[in-house]
Amino acid sequence: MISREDLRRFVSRMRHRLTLAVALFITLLGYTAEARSDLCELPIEVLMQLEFIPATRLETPARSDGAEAPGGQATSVSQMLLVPEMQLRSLVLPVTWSFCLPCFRVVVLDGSRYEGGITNRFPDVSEHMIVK
Amino acid sequence: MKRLAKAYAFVTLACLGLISAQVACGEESPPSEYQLKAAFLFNFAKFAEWPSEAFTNATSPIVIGVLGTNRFVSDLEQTVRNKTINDRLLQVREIRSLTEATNCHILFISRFSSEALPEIFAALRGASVLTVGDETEGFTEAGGMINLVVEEKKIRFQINNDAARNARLKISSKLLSLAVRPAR
Repeated sequence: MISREDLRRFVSRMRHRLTLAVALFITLLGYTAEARSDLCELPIEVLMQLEFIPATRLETPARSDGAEAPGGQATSVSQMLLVPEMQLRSLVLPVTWSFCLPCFRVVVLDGSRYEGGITNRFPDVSEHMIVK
Repeated sequence: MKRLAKAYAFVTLACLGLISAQVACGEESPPSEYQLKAAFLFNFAKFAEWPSEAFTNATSPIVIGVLGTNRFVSDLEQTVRNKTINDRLLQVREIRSLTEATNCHILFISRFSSEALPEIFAALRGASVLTVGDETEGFTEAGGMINLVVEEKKIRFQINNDAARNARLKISSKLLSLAVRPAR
């Protein structure tokens, strides 16, 4: 038969252990969040086991009529078929490399081409351009 | 009674452990490609050794240049912000010319620059610049030192140790052993 005193001790111990467990839980969560926010702290062997969200090389551009344009994940601009008046929201790949004048070219659906060059910086995702 | 208490405590801890693991896994979204690649660059800096003349003084920064994809620059800057390796801060620069590239310690070369590799490597000849390719086919064969590759959604890397040695760079045996192809 369990005495009242035994029960009181048991509850007291449990309370103590539960407090410890909660502290451990919070510490673990904190550690996980910290490790995630700082990938550099992870050993390279761990980095090699991480999966990642691939960067979008060339986002599927939205057409003015709302339809999706073909060739969203093309690896080369020349593979993309675009429609005139379409706004590119992302990266425009350089097709002709020159350190002084990176150039890029977009082949439009009707066969016409848009060519551009940026004199002092490389094409970036922040670049907005209209294919005409 | 004591046994019961211990068992109860053990079960409680185990449950909490499981819950914490589940919470951690469930809420954890994988890093972005460039965040992860930035962490790899940091590790390459840790496991490479430059000749002393590559730095102006004992605390001058390790400069990481990014060529051909300025989208990567911000992720890299965030990742290495305030980080030091052997008391050297890491500094990120967007590279716009080959002259600038020779002033880096690590040069990240985007895959969009692959056609220009011979030109880039020729310009870097004699400079102690650790060249890192971004999933560029034939990068190490063309004279590049480390090429990032993706295998089963995970990042791996190839190393051309001969090219590194020619540039008077020492790549640690640990990094060489982790490379996906035997180091040359």
